[in-house]
Amino acid sequence: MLPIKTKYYIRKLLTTCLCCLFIYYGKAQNGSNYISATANTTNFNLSTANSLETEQTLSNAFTLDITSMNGPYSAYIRVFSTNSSSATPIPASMLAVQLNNYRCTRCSFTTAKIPLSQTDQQLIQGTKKSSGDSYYYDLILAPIGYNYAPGTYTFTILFTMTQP
Amino acid sequence: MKKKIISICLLFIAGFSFSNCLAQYSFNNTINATVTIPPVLSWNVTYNNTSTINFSNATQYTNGVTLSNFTTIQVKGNTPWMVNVAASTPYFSASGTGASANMPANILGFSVDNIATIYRLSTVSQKIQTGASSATGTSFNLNLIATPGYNYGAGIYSIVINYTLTAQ
Repeated sequence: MLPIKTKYYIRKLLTTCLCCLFIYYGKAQNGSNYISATANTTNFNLSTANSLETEQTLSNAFTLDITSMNGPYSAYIRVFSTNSSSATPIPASMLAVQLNNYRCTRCSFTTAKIPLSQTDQQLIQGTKKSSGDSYYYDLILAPIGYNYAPGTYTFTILFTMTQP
Repeated sequence: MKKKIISICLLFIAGFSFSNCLAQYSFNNTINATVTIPPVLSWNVTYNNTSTINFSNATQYTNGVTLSNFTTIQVKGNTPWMVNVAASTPYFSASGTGASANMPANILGFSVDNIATIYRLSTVSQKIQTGASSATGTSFNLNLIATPGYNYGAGIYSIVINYTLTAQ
C-alpha cells in the first residue's frame, strides 16, 4: 500500500499528463486540420538538347489536399533543401509552380506562375473553415541550358498551412 | 471525490481553451522534385563551300587545292566533347573511262582554323577537335586540302566523309 500523500501526487501527475496530451493533440496535424501534399509526377529528365534549352512543365505534378475545420487558412510553399551530385546546385528560382485545377468553395489564389525560393510564398487563402479542398499544380523548370553538370538534383519542397 | 472530479474537468477545460487560444496553428508536408541531367551534346554542321573540287591546271595538281572554311561546326554540351572525322571507304569511288580505282582517302586532309596540323583522311576515325562543356557553344572551321598529284587518271571521284561528335 502506497502512502496517501504519494497517491495524491501520482493522481496530480496523471492529470497533468492528460492535459498536456490534450494540448498536444490540439496542435498536431489531425483529421480535422491538415495539409497533404502528394507528388504525382515530379521528376524532370532532361535527356535532349531541346529539353535543356526550353521550359519544361510537368502537368498536375502534385496535389495539395487541405482540411481546416478550425477556420480560415493560408498555404505557403518554399524550397526547404536541395541536394545535388555536382558542385554547382540548381537554384530554387529555376523551379516554379502554377495552379492547374482546384476544388474548393471559399478560397482565393493566384493562377500566375510562382517562382520558388527558400522563403515562404503564399499559394492559397481559404476564407472559411473547409473540409477537403484540393489544388492541382503544375511544376515548371526554367531552361537549364548547358551550365549544370550531368547528375541528379533533388529539391525538397515544403508546404505549410497556417490558421490565423 | 466530487471536488476531485470537478478539478479534473476544470483542468481539461483549461487545457482545451489554451490549445485553442494559441496564436497560430501550423501544419507541414513535403514532396521531393528531381531533375536528372544526363550528358547531352548538340551540334550544327554548316557547309560553307562547295564539296566539288575541279583540278584544271598543273599548279593545282602540283600544290593541291585548299578549300578554306569548308565546314563550320558549332558544338554545345554539358560535358567535354570531341569531334572525329573518318572516310566511309578506303578508296574513292571512280567514274569515267580513265579513272583510277585506287585513289585513297588520304589524298584528302583536314586542318582546324589556322592550325597547321593536317589530319589525313582514312577509315580510321581521327580526333580533330576537343572542347569543354559550354552553354554558348564552341565554334570552329575545317579546311579541306586535296592533294592527288599526278598519280591518278582523269575522271570523277567521290567519297563520303563522316563527322562524329562524342562525349569524352
